[in-house]
Amino acid sequence: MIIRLTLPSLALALLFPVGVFAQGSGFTNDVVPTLTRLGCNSGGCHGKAAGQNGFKLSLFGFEPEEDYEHLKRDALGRRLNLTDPDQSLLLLKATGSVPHGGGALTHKNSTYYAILHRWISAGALWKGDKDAGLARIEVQPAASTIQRGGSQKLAVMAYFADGTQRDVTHLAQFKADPPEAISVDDTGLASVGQQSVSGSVMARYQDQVAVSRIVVPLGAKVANLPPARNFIDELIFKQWKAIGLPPSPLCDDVTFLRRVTIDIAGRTPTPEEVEAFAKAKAEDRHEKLVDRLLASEDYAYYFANKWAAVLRNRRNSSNEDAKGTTLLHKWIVKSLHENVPFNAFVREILTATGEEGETPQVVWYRELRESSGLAEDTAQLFLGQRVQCAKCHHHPTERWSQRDYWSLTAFFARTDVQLPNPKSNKGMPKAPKRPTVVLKFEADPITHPRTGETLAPAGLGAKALKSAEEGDSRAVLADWITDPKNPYFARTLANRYWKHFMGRGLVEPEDDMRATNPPTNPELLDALAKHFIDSKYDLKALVRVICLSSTYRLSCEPNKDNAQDRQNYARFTIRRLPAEVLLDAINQVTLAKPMTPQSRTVRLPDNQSASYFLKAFGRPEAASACECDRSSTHNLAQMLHLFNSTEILGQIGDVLKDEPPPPKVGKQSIAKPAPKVTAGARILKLATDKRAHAERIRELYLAAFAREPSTEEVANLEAHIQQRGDVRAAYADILWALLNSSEFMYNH
Amino acid sequence: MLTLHENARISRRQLLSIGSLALGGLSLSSLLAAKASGATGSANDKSVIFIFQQGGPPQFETYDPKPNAPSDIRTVTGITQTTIPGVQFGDTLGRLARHADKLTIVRSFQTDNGGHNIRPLVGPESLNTNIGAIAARVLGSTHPTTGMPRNALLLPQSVCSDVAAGQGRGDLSATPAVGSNYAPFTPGGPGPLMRDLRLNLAPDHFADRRALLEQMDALSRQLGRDTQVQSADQYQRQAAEVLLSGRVAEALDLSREDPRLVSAYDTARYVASHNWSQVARGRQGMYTGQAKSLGKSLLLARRLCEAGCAFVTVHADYAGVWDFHADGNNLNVADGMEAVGRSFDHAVAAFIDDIEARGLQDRIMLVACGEMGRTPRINPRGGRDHWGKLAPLLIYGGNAARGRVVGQSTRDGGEPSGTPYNGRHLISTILHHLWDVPQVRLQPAFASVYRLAEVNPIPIG
Repeated sequence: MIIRLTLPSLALALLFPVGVFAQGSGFTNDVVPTLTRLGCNSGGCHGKAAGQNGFKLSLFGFEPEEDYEHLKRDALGRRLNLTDPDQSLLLLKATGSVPHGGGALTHKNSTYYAILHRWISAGALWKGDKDAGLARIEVQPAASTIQRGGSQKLAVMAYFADGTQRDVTHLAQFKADPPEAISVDDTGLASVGQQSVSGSVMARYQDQVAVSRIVVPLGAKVANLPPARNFIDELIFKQWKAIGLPPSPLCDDVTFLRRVTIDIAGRTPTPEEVEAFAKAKAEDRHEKLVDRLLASEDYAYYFANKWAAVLRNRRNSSNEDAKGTTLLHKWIVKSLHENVPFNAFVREILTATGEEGETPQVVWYRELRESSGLAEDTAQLFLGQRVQCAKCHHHPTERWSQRDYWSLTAFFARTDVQLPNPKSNKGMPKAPKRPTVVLKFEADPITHPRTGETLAPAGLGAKALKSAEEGDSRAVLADWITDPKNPYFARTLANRYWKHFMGRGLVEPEDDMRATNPPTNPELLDALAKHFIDSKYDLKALVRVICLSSTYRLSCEPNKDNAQDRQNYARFTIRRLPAEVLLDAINQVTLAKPMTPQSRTVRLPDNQSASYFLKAFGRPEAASACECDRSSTHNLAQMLHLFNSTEILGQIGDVLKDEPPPPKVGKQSIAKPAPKVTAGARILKLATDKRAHAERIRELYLAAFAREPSTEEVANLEAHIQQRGDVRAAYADILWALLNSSEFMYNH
Repeated sequence: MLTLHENARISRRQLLSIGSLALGGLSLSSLLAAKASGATGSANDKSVIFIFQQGGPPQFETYDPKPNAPSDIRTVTGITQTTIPGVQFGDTLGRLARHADKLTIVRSFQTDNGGHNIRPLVGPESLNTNIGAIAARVLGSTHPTTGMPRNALLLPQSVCSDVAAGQGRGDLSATPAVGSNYAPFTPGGPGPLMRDLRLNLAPDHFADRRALLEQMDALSRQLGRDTQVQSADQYQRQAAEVLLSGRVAEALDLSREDPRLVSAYDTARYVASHNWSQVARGRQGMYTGQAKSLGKSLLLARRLCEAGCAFVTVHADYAGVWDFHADGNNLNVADGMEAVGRSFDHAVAAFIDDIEARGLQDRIMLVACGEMGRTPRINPRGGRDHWGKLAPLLIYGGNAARGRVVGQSTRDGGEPSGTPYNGRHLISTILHHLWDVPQVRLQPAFASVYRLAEVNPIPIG
């Protein structure tokens, strides 16, 4: 009998050490977290705005006052039975003793049942003595190294305003990242697989979150490091040594040329550039190359393409939009070309006032319109914070609350985005001819949607302005964002650019730099941010330091140890050419269209041209602040297009077989066939060239792969030409194969 | 340096002959295909068409009307007698009631889920992976002789160009457990993709070029060890098969069907002229999209299956056309059944007529359910709310019994009164239809998939 009584409690005590059972249950500190842990208040159940079957809880328990009301007073008080707690509807439902749409979530002998039962027995008080306000939580240990296949027990400590602290592991929720490499169970036991990885486990308790960083080392021997050229290399090498991850060797010069020309200038190098760089012997030839590329207009246009997309430089239906988008694009190009400091660039966007024709940054306002949208994009673009969720509820994996969200929005409370509106011009004499941003005489009152409290502008995690502040508070916002002490601004930009060149952000995705998504190399991110601030926000200097590191110059070919690594840059991360760059490269190799700098796709000012190629290869629609709008993955449609489209075959110069009638789906027939492109200039040139085939093949390889062909490659293609008989047709085959080869399609 | 000599060149014929094996890679397709190659055509190929009724269809107004329950519980639409003695449906499903002797109705199905998501099609029970992608992982991403992708997703845009753009919830193409190569192929209606599907070069010439490309890749930089490049290679192989067989373009071409059959399937007649404009989803064209497309989608799904597709998801592309809350966003139950149930009834009945006429009922299994059912009690506005304890499930074809009702629900239609079946049982049922489960068990690469099929199937046989 005695044994029967003690065994379960002994087991529970072992599971949850710190005197959980000696205490009573507080409502906010025990009951609500229990409802969260059981999933009662999740978005799919009672936590959604309408509740579920008449019982509503606040999402993830972020509004305990409301929850108390719903539990205690609604449903005629049936949910809690103070005289016979076991008969409380809350407990009967949770255990599935009465029909419950969510099923049985716990059982009578569980810790959670005990918590709820104890609270009800004690009178179901709103503020008991166990309800001190929560100050913060910690996951212990904050960082750990776990050997492959091993595990680590994590504990969550809560620190309360009254100075007390408690182990709340049994009430916390855990989430591991990346989930394929790290798992965590309800008791906080983190287990790792055989993969070497840098990851984390996030814990949430009430409205607080904390992370524990986890590194799973590989443990291989690290030798033959390349020379450390700058601080990047020092911090990267340090990590390799700590993890036991040996890097690939440096790539050769022409590979570097193609790589850095694509990454900085958004184009493949010309045969002349390849020949010159292959011959260059000077010690500083890499520096000279990077400087030359950064000074070129190509750099400005390529990065303008990147920024225009996330700044929503978008043409919707009307060509009226084109006036603004062309001007905004021009302004971005000019700013980048002149290397305007990034803080000044951002300030011009954030404080733009006037008409689109004079102040093209107004396009951004035209697309966003609402103050809340402006705040959201500002946070995501310049601070790496995704605050959208906090518009309606506390963000479940973030510290931002509705107060933070609406206080940030309050900076735009005087911003009035006026659009031309020909339909209702009669009643609205004020409607401008072109989109215009003006400041209202008085700010729209921004109130907390739940409490109704009027909110003054405040940066995320910063002190609020005095509500009676005069003038344009957006200038204050720009001050706060671009202040060297701002914890997000420089780090976000550094991470965004690091990803552009290295294929993966130190924080991934690059614009989700929340506290619970830690960087894989925190020291490096800090150092890059410091470099950026010290250089007075010099974008070209940042590009320069990244591209001249040995880390950027590594070969993409893996060694036996680093093939699986995706987080520590021990080899160059290859990526498919972006849609625009790939299309330009195809045009450049086929010579089917006259290629001047001005005719490059990369230089298009906005999302205007309806190109199937660009769509299939993932060009962004400029409809989001997220870089993820651009897709760099593969799909079947892309391959079909490169293999077989009349556009590509036409550009090569293939004589197409008779086109069959277009296939039909339903009643709709295919619109119109693609425009015929005349026979490709490249194969005509090659077929009529009088030089030996080896010379012609060399020219083709320089144009397509930016390198010399090997003897084997020349011999192989010579054999093909001979076998084919028809020289022109043979070159068409070769050109087709080049365009479809992985070496062409990738930056490597 | 890798050296490849003249005699190492891969011939076109070699390339063609290894094509089907190379494509399957680690998959079972090579084994299964080799085994099936003795049989003629693709008669052994099994398929599943899954109509995912997102929003959560009501059990009462479909296959479990509870005519004797109080008026705030029983079906709001009235009832109709089916061809199974003693079994009644909600009367919106009049055509299906006449086909009930060919259907399996599960009255003890529950999704254990009361929120909008895409379970069990994609959810914890499916390794968070589209069920079709799991099928494609085992069977190979394309059919070895026709090149038809094994996994397809049909949205209203796949058959109609004039429907509003969708905004479904959840990633119907999710493939975390198997990799993106097995993501569903989504025909996008008329356009360049359809044009690219028809080979523009002579087949021999195209195969020669591919051989040249393989040599070129083999001689150039060794990028082939990178997983991205491997994924690209696999898409190239898939593209080549699609082009060489020509069957995909043909299968997608509804104009090859008898116009009388197309019109028998067509559900566009159920588009209400007022477009259910009293609620937001009606104003956004969601009910229109479903009614316009569902019949043709099912016809297209049948064509894809005939050409070797193993799993077709049919989805309205809109979250919640079946979400009958009567709350301003959504219709009430009675109007919802008119807006969505009518076209569903017509399309599925036309599909059954067609499948029976073609004798495909053993090869193709049709499954229809949503992510949940709806509350027994009708809310004050005439809607029903989310309910995770019971959901309507229809199965037709495959190894399903004809005219069977599996299980029963409690008197209030709130939950199963006997053994409950959930998404795990349904997925196992689907996998048991698609392949010989013990044979898959022998392949270590498919251990996780096998575990999905270890759960007991719903007893539909």
